[in-house]
Amino acid sequence: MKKALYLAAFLALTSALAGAVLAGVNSLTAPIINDRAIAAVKATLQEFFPQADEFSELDFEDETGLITNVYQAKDAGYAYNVKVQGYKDVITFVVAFSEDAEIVGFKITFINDTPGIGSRVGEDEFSNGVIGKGSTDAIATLSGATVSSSSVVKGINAAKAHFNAMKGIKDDGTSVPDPVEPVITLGEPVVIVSDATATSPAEILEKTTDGNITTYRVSAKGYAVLEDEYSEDPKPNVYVIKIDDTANTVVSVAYETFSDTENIGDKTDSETFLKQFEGLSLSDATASVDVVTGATYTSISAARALRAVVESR
Amino acid sequence: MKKFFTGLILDNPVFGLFLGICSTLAITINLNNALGMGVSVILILIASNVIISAIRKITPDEIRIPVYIVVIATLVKAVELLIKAYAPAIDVALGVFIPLIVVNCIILGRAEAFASKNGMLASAWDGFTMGVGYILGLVVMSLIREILATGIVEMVNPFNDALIFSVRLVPAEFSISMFSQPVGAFLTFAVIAAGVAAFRDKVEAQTKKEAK
Repeated sequence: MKKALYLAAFLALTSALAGAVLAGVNSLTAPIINDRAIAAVKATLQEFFPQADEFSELDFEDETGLITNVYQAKDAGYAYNVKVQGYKDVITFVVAFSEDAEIVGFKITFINDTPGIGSRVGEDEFSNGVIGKGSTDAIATLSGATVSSSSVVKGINAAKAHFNAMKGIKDDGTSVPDPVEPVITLGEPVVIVSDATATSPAEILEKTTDGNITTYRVSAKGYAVLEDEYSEDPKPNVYVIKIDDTANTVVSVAYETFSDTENIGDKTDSETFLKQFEGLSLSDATASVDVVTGATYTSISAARALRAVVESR
Repeated sequence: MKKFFTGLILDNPVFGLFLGICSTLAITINLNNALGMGVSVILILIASNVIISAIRKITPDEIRIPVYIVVIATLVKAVELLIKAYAPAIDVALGVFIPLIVVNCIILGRAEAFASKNGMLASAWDGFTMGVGYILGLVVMSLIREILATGIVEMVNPFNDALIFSVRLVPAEFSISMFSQPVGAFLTFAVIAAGVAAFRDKVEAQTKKEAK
C-alpha cells in the first residue's frame, strides 16, 4: 500500500513538473504562434476590410464543425475561415461580414473539384451571388455544380448563423435565393462559310416559305455526336433558322432541339450568343459569330447549321 | 575513430537497427525536412537521455516507462511549440510527424537501453551519436529521393524562409517524380538497408577471419 502510494506520488510529481515546464514554454510561444496564424490570412482580411488595421483571432463555438477560424477586423467586421467537403476533396474559403451584416468578401482558398464544373464556385458566377447579400439572405447553389456549391453554401450558412448569433440578428429562414444567371462570355470568332467548318456538314430537314421569309429546320452535329462514345444515344442539335429572302439576311437562329451537355452546351441557347446571327448577310463571305467560351463545339454546330442554309441557296 | 564510423553505419538506428522508420519513410522528401526532423530528434534525444539518466537512481523501477514517456512527451511538446513559433516552415512541412517523435522508438529505446543504466555524460554522448546516425540516415535517404524526384538539391533557412542554396544536378526531363511518393521511400530504404546488410556481412566475415 505504502509502495503504491509512493509510486502514484512520484508519477504525479513528475507530471506536475512536466506540466509546469510546458506552461512556461507555452506562455513564451503562444503570442508568437497566434501572430503567425493571423499573418497567414492577414492579406486576405486586408483585402476584405481595406480600412481596418487591427485584426485578431476569436475563440468561438460552432455546432456544425465547419468553421475553422473566426477573425475580427476591429470596427470593420468579421471573417470566417470555413472548411467543407466538396465533390472529391475539401473546399476551404473565407467569407467576411461587415459590421452592418452584409457579406463583403468571399474567396475560395483551396478547391480540388472537377475543373469547369465544381471549380465554378471559385468564379465570379458564384461569388457575385454571395457578395452583397445580407447575413439573413439565402445563397443560391449552382445548377450543374450542385455538390460543390451546396457544400459551400452550407459553410456560408454556418458562418452566417454564427455571425447572426453573435450580433443578435434573428434569421427567420424565409429568404429565397435569387437564381444564379450563368455567365456567358464570347471567345474566338468562327466564320460561317469557312474551310474549318466543312467537316460534318449540317443537314436541312425542312424548308418552308411564308412571304419573303424562308424558315429552315436544320440538323447539325453537336458535341454529343462528334464524341459518339461520350453519349449512349447521340442526337444532333436541331436549329430553326429564318432568312429574309429580299434582304438576304438572317432574321433569327433558334433552338428546336438541344442535345449537347446540359449546363455547358446550353450556354449557346442564350440571347448573348444567338443575337449575333441576326442581320448577318448571307452574301458576306467573312460573316462570323463569336463562340461561347466553354461551349465551342456547340457554338460551331450552330454556325454549321447556318452554313448549310447559305450553301443551299 | 574507425570504430565510430563503423558503428555509425552498422549500428545506424535507421538502417542497422531499423528504429524510427515510420518518420524516416514519411518525411525524407527533401533535404530541408530531413534536417528539420533530424535536428529536432537529436535535441530531444540528448535532453531525454540526460534527464532520464539524472533521475535514474530515484525513479522506481515499476513505473519507469510511464516516467520516461512523460519526460519524452514534455520535451517533444516543448520542441513542437518552439518550432511552431520560430520555424513555421518546418511545422508545415513535417506536420504531425513532430508530435509523433514521442513514439519514435529510438528515443524510448535509448532511454530504456542506455540512459537508465549510465551516467549523464555518457548518456548525452549516446544520444548524440544515435542522433547523428539518425540524421545521417535521413540525409542519405532525402538526398537520393530529392535528386531522383526533382533533380534539385535545395536548402532553405527554416527561420526566415530564405533560400540558402539550390543546385540542379539532373536536368528536369530526367526526374522521376515517383521518388517523392511513398513507393520511392520504400525502394530507397530497401536498397540502402540491403547495402548496409552486405557491409555488415563483410565486416563479420573479416572479424571471424581475424579471430581464427
